[in-house]
Amino acid sequence: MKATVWRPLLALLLMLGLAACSEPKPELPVNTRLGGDFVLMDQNGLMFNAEDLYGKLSLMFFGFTHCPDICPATLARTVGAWKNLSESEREQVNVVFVTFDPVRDTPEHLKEYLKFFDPSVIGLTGSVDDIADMARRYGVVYLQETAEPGAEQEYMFSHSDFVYLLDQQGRVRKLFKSDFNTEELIADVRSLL
Amino acid sequence: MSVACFRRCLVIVALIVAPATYAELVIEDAWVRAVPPNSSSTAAYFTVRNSGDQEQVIVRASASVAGAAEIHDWIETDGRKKMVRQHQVPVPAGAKVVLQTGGLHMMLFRLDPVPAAGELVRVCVGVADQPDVCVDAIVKMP
Repeated sequence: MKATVWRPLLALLLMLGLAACSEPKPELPVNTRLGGDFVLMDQNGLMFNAEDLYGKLSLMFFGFTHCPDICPATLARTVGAWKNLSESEREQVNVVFVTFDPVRDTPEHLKEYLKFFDPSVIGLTGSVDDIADMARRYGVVYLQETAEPGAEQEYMFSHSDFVYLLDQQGRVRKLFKSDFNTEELIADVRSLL
Repeated sequence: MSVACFRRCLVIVALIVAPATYAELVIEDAWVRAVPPNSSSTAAYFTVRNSGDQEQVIVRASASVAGAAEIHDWIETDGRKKMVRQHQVPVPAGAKVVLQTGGLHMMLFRLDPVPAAGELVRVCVGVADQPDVCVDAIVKMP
């Protein structure tokens, strides 16, 4: 084969190879089985639904404020990751805490509790049924557990502990374990900005 | 009685009455999670090391700012994590037990006052029939 033929062919192959190398990381898939609308109340006592999150990404976590270990640890970790973003990135990301203990976690209590982590954290509470409905849509499992006689708290909750990453349309894009890798979470957030 | 004999007697008496098991438990790297001022509870984390040659079993816990303290562990079933009180926490001879987030931890209830970051909280554990082993734990936001 003459050089005039194979040289352009080789150059074309090289270009195709380079193009493949620089191909961007695949987008996070949309989880079509989880998520959906909800109607709850924020820490200011105002009605809050799924559409109020639209336009920004959201890092959402479910828990209860009388939980002394995993819930405050995950909140601190999530807010810490959020604070590692630049100021302009932070303006595009909500941090949302949804309680499944509306009896103790009133809007007033949530407001006082969450401002310790950051005043911008959105706290959501509501009726037992509305919270249960939202939890079901998002695949959150929790159960109120009666404590043993003589225990300090009358009841606790056993629960799943994932952090949800929602996109600007409120669609679930990824679930992180509560002890997530901060760098991985930040990279995934940035991939959607 | 000579002075030397008196000293030997003192050593023997000390060996008989000394709380050897008490001295063998040591608390290290203790800290308390800083929580919002309207929290009713928080958690303490530390390592308990047993330098002795016999297993020690922790049967009680307390903390200076808490009305009560209990040691709990996380048990995962059906996708849910549940805290379960541990009435006894064995510390094997020559080994250690680590209390950490997501695992064994000491729960502090009825906080009064709620300790602020940077403050010290006295946390204690105890085995049966022995004085508590205590340490000052720093309150921090990890």
